[in-house]
Amino acid sequence: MQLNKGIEAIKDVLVSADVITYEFSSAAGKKFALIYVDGLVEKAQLGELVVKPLAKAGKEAGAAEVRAILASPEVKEVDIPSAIKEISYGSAVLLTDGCDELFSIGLTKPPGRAVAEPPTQIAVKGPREGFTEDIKINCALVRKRLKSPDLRLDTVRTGKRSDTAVTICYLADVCNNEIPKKLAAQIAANEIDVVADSSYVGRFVSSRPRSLFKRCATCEKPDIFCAKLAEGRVGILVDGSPIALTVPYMLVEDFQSSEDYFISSYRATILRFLRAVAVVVGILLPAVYVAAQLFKLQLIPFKLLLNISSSVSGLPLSPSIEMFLTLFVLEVLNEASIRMPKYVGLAISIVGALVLGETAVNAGIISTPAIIIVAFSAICLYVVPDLVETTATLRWIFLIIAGSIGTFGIILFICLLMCYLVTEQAYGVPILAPFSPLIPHDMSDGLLKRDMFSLSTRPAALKGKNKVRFRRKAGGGDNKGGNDDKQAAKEPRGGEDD
Amino acid sequence: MQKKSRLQAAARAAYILLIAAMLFLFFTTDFGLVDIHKTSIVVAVGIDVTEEGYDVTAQAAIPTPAQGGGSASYTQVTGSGATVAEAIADINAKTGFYPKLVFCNLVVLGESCGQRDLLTVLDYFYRNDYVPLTALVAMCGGSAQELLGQKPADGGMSSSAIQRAMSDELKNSAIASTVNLKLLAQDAGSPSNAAYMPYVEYGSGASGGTTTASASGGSGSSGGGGSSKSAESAAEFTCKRCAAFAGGAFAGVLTEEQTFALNLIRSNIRHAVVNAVCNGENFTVGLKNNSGGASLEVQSGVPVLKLSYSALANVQSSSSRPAAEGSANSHLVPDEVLLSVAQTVRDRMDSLFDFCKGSGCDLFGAERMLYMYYYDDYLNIKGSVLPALKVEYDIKIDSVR
Amino acid sequence: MTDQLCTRQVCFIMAAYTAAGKLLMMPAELSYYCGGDLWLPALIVYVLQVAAVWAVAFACSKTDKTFFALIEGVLGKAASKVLCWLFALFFALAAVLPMFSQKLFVQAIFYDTIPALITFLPFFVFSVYAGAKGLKNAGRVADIALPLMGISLIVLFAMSVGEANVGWLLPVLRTTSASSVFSGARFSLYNFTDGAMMLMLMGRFRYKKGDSLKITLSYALSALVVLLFLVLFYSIFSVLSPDQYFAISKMAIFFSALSIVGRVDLIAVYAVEICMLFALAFYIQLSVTCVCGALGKEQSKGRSASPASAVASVAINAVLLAVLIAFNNSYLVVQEAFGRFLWIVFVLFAFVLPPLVWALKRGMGGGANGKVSGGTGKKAGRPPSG
Repeated sequence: MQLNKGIEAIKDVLVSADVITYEFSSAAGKKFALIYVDGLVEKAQLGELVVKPLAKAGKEAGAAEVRAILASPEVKEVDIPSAIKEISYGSAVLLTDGCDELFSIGLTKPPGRAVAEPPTQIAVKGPREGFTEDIKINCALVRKRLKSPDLRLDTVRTGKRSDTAVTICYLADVCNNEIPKKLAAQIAANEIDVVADSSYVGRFVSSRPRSLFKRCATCEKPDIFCAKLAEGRVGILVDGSPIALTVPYMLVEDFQSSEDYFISSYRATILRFLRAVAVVVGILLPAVYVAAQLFKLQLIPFKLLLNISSSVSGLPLSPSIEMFLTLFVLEVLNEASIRMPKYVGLAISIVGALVLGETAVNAGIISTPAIIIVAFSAICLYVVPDLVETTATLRWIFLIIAGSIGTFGIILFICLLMCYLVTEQAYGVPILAPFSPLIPHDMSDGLLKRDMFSLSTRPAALKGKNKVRFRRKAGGGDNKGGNDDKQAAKEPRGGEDD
Repeated sequence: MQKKSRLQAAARAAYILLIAAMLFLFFTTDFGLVDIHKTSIVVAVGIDVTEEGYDVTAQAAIPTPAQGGGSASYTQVTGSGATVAEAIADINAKTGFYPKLVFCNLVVLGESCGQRDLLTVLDYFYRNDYVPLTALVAMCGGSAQELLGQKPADGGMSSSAIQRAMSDELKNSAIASTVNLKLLAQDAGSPSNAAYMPYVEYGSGASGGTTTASASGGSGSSGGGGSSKSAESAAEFTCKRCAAFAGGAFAGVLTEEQTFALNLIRSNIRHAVVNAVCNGENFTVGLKNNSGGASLEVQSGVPVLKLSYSALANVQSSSSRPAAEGSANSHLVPDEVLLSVAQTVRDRMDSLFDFCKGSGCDLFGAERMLYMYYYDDYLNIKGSVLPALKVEYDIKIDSVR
Repeated sequence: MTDQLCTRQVCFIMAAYTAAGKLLMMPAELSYYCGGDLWLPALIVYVLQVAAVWAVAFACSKTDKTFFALIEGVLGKAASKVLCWLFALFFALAAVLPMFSQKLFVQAIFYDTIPALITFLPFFVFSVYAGAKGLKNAGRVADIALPLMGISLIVLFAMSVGEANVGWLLPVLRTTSASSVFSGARFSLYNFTDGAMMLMLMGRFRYKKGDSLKITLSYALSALVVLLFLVLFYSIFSVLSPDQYFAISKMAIFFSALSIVGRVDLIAVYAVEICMLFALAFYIQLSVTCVCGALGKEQSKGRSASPASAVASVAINAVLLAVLIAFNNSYLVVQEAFGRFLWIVFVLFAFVLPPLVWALKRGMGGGANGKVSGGTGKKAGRPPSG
């Protein structure tokens, strides 16, 4: 094939200024052309590993010789359509004058940030690396931690225009192998222009994408991601997103922190209960406060009631409207402080907290207890940041219900939620497991956190293969109450009703 | 399929309707409910019997703006009616505030209530699910309205001061009795058909510091709370005596000594103090490890009440400083003092027994015990247990060692 | 028929849901008839119910068919359908009085003043939703409800036991006449639908050896808790007992710490209330199950309720709502109707029919369905549907 014809064939499709064509010749006069996207390829490496070696190519060098000369480790032969795709993905395509074969050279180096600690999953103890937007780096971070040959990284592509790479990660000898297949099929079944973030894929793979409750867990740290793979879950990495997904998802996961596994199990248990209580308080406190004032004063201790009564006396608003407004202000401030540049955000915090709050109380528009309750509720919800979108929405719903029919409404809605959640499942695993259906085996790592020796088998709810994950060899010390082979060999039973 | 989509559409419409209804209710909150703004939090109720029926005085904590110092202010309003319920409704009509009784911790009966059947007077509180059975009940000399209108030394609510006079500490030291609505009904409704409650008395005490709370009278027949009494005339409340009721009728007021004896038998006493005179010398003896009670036996068809009491004594104060003979410990109680204390306790119990026999008021619960443990005998002497009752004492007081 | 429940869930249902409904009105009603001997009529009825539950649970070891499948096998499809409708009506009827009790309970514990009926109406939103969800949902909920109720009851018992004086129960069995015991038992019968409940659960779980014992013991344990509750209740309130409806919300108020921290006992009461609401919804779930069975429709499709069960749930709740509105201020009339006349229906469905399962089993013949395995209590096989 004539070099020009090949270049034309590609450039006809990739009509863009950032698609660079670099034509060069060897010392013997053999002509080559490299086509790549400016900024996506590591040019220095391209010069070093491709252009320099090819300078020695003979005039009559054929495809086999050229392939042999190329020093780059990632070289594959492609046809024109594939070459176009490869260029889009960040590879350089080598065309050789007089040869029909095209070589894709994988020297991709897209712009991106370095590996850093993620802002949402900061841990005092434990690894600090976080995922980045580059799927290759993310895959490498996973592989770095799981060197097992059973680690599978299957890549599928989605997004008609973005053609985003989605990597499904799993340990083939541990997880339920139906899940990766189902995931791939579900991702493929969705045709969308652009997949901007992993949350899109999260919706694709969810059985109820409109639900208030998510069906995929999210994580930003490879250590957590790998731990979940090792438990028998399947992970999803999406190019362009630093947030990885894991399925099947159980609600209790969000109450667990990576740090729980690095600190004393007693402390971890206390922290888990604390998180659970904080979330419940965060969701219900504004609602209960309103319901108590409107319908059931007895919910408030007498002396506190007198104080509250003093605070709210003379307010022009009913307790429900007062709380509605206070919560509304909180949400506005929250939104503004997140979206605004940092320096303005600080100013907004000051204006919100000091000026608005203080002035509103002094002006007799809202009461001090309302502000305290909303502030405390907000803090409580951020104890479990992964659930904030759900919990903050629930807080509004509970508030509306409490203001309408009181505490009974709150109880009824809790019942309704329970009724809804108990039969919801993600990839065959009930999201309320191990509480409903009750799986005693998994309670050891539910809200309770037993020591690592007691967690010798993988969660039964996940119904994976290869149950044993920890076994102490003979003579491995005298950890009393720790793992023994009998316990390890015991097959945990999952929810029997499934 | 079509049916299913129709159902889904119906469900969606129902959801939207529901959300709309909820939002409507949320922003209106108006279906006859009484929120914190429309409520007066009644903390105590006083009942007086009048010729027309009842006067009910409600002492209610009222909210004052926090900027005003946030002190607990209260108001006192009296309503009248043929029944207690009507009188309470009258309060609502007079003030516009709905009197919520969920925090009512004290019910005071005026002296005039002795004319009526006890449970008839209190019937409203037993029928109303929103009145806690933990509310304390007391009787006072004179009018309950006047009692609640008194200003205590600390300037707070009289009801709080009265409750302090019936506090657990005083109860545990046998000085005051405490009875709530539940215990009262249980006593009065038992086969013994007798009940008791603390008898509140007040007098003018010394200056009691500054008065910070405001006491504003309500409209209509406002109680004494409206008057601005000076700190010099601050009232002191005591509940050292008990009012006794037999068959629902007022039977009299026990003396302090009788009340002390009753408390030893009916309450769990932790530490009591008795003054005994021995050889012309005053000894104040502290009694701990108290264990008192009444039991009943039937001997040859005659019910015998056994009043027992045991305690360990130590000298708290005496006119002679030296220790007991043979010991370096001045807390040790000489035997003769112990005997004197035992005699004092016995005299008080005896006095109480005489009162019970005389007034036909079975405060010991003898008939109830007969009913429980000797049902056949109960059937034989039902109604005449008290006249046939004999008493035995078993009082043991040892010195601390 | 696919397995909807596991044995544990059946045990939890028989422990939690059966006890929950008996803690509201029954103690006060029994104390009205029998005073301190209030536990006696309850004990008598419970003994009969334990026997009925055991009869059904043990029958499960011999067949994996549902009750209606057994009926169909012996008496034919028409009889099975008729019985399906009758049971649907029965469970709807059984929900009536608990629904009224719930309304009054809600008004007492969630509000400081008596609110309008409208505040209770949202219950039907929950009830329609839960009713359509089917038995699997009920089993899953029971997994949470039982521990919740267990912990709450322990807390409430611990808070209230200090105020109890068991002396009030004396003299035992001396003051109550046989007619009072009979009246008490008769007036409490409408609280006992447990035998019928077990009948509905029959064939809906995979039986394993010893399950009948587990189920019966779970139910007996719940009976023990209710009896303990009755004893504690009278020990606290004695002569006041007949007026103390909803005692569960009042028993702990004497706990001294509450005067400082406020009514924290209400948290436990509300937790029990959650269980009570599910127990009430369970009647509707059973009724819907029967309606779907009678119509020959699936109750659920995957995790979603089927249109048939949704419509049935709406219809049953609509009837209950109409009854509630019609008799809103006539609780005593409804109670009298149940206690004086309708108790016979409860006897028939909850006491007489459960033991008849054995007659049906015999009617089917030991080898007729090929699923009976000697006396080991373990089934030889399991058909894909029943």
